[in-house]
Amino acid sequence: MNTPSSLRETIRLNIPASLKCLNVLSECLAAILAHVPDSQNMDITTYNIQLALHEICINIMKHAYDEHAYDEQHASDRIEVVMVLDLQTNGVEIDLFDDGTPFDKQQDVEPDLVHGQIHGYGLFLAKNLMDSVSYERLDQKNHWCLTKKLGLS
Amino acid sequence: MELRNEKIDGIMVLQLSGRFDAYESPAVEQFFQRINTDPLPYVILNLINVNFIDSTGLATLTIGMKRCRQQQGDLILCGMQQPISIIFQLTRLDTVFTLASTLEEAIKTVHTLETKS
Repeated sequence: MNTPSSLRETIRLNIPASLKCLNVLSECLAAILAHVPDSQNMDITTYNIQLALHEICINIMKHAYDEHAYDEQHASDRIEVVMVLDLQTNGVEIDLFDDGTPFDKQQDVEPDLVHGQIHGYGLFLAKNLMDSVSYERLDQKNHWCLTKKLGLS
Repeated sequence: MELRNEKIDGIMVLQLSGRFDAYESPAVEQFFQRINTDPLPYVILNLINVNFIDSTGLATLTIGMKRCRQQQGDLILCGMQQPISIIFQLTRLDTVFTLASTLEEAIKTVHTLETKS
């Protein structure tokens, strides 16, 4: 059985891999999550998903595109983002695609939470704020997939 | 993001508003590089109007805190909104930083620390 379109919202974006564009993603995500009725702590949930998405994008800019986003000279570096809100399953799924350098899983190191550290919290935050964060290399592209179930009141 | 600094009771207070992320954090980093905190290097950072902070923002704050502590001072964070407070708990940075609920409480904390030092 097909899901009625009113129960499934999809937003597709193709943004430059530039730091100054990340607030656009946050705003779009907040807009789509505003469609969720009667959910608990939605402000915090929205913030957490925004931050997870933001951190994955930062990771793509830093590593897949070799920090080009920081000098803003490489306008051809882009990230495709597909956000799907499924009100039937009360879940949100975000897929990100880029054609930069493959992700090196050795970069995925847990931060030292006991002594604290300066850098290295990005992926840790994304993984802990979402239900799942996965990565695959597919057809010469990097594919990140983030999912989260939304609690209903 | 807006960044404003003023001296209150002789303490440097930095007021931020808006997003504090990788795009905006260089301005705060520059502040910590050029700040003149005579006679004691205590800085209060009021986050009450900050609605978003990312891992780069956290890194900038950690660098600022270390810089203040190297000068026998401290960076006190106050006014954190709940979603940001949760991020500090998740990373356990709430145990690393000196935190205060309000600006008034942060000023009292600095005066207490100054008395001890």
